[in-house]
Amino acid sequence: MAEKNNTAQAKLSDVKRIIRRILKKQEEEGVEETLNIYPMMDMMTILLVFMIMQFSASSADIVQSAELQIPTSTSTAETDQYLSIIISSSEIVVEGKHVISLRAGKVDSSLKQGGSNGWLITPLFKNLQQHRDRLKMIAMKNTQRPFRGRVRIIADKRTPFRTLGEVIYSLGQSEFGSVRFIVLQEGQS
Amino acid sequence: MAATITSSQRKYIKKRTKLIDLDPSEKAGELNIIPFLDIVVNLIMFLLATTEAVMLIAQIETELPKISRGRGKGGEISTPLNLNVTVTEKGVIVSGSGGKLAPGCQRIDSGRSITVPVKGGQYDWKGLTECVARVKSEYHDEDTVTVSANPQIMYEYVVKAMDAVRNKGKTELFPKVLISVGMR
Repeated sequence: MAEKNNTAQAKLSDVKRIIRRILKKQEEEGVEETLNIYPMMDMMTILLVFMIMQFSASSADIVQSAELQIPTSTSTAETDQYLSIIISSSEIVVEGKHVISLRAGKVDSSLKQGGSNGWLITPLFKNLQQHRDRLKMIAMKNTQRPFRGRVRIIADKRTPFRTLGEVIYSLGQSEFGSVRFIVLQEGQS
Repeated sequence: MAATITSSQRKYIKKRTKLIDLDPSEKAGELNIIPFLDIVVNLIMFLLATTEAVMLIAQIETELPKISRGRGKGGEISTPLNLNVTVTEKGVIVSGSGGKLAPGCQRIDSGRSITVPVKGGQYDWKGLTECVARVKSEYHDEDTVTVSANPQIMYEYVVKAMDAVRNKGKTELFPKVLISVGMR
């Protein structure tokens, strides 16, 4: 009878205390030592951005193919981002845009001013004039970027000098007088 | 006096203290960045794998010759040497204001001879460098050369000619290259 009197039903406060105690115990047991991956993610992202920048700045737009084999040279001068002209064995491309087709690396005489003896490639000249006007407009608005008439030529090593000469002549007529020939550094093929 | 927990109270305690297995990201209430990290790692792997195929590129700086009309304002005064290097099918002709250099590069020749002829079907670029170096030894202040070629000559040989005249080893010969289209 005395034992019965000693055991009474637990109050709500007792139940809450028990719950708190259990939750605290679970919390203590549940603390897991996990690796913080945020610094790693930061590092990875920086690395990725760096690599993408490196690719775009160097050779992303120069892709060798059967029609475009770049010659090798002893030059080690770093390349700059100027107006880009690609002369492959089948076409001339200015800033990634097809301008004319070539036949075995030669310009069709109908595309030249003066026919087969002509030097000025008319479609190329017109295209270059547009680029010249655009660059001059930029130069007018932004004095930090004056028009220097610089271009870079990425040409197939088998291109006849006549074709190269015609391109250079068209460049000269469009006020592009400074030509950078893109080459592979020696030791590569 | 010890309190007794009834079955309903026990159920209530069990319900309130039941462990819910949450995702690690849900526990912290943050964005799950692990898939993003996977993508980044894969991208880096891809970029590193393709690095081998990346070419080491360089450029050769050239200018177009300017037309000078006398020594007037704005017109360029041509240099006393006016060194010209022309690549032909038979070899390379080296000429200057005084005329065309004969093989050996020691005297002027007026004939049809080639200054650095083709040897065994191959251009003698070393011979051209030696020849130009000899010219340089006499004209220390000159640094400009005009490079040209016959119409059928491949661009590759023009680049080789430019390399041959620009420097000899680490010694600079004629670093300023003018490219002439050879309009005749």
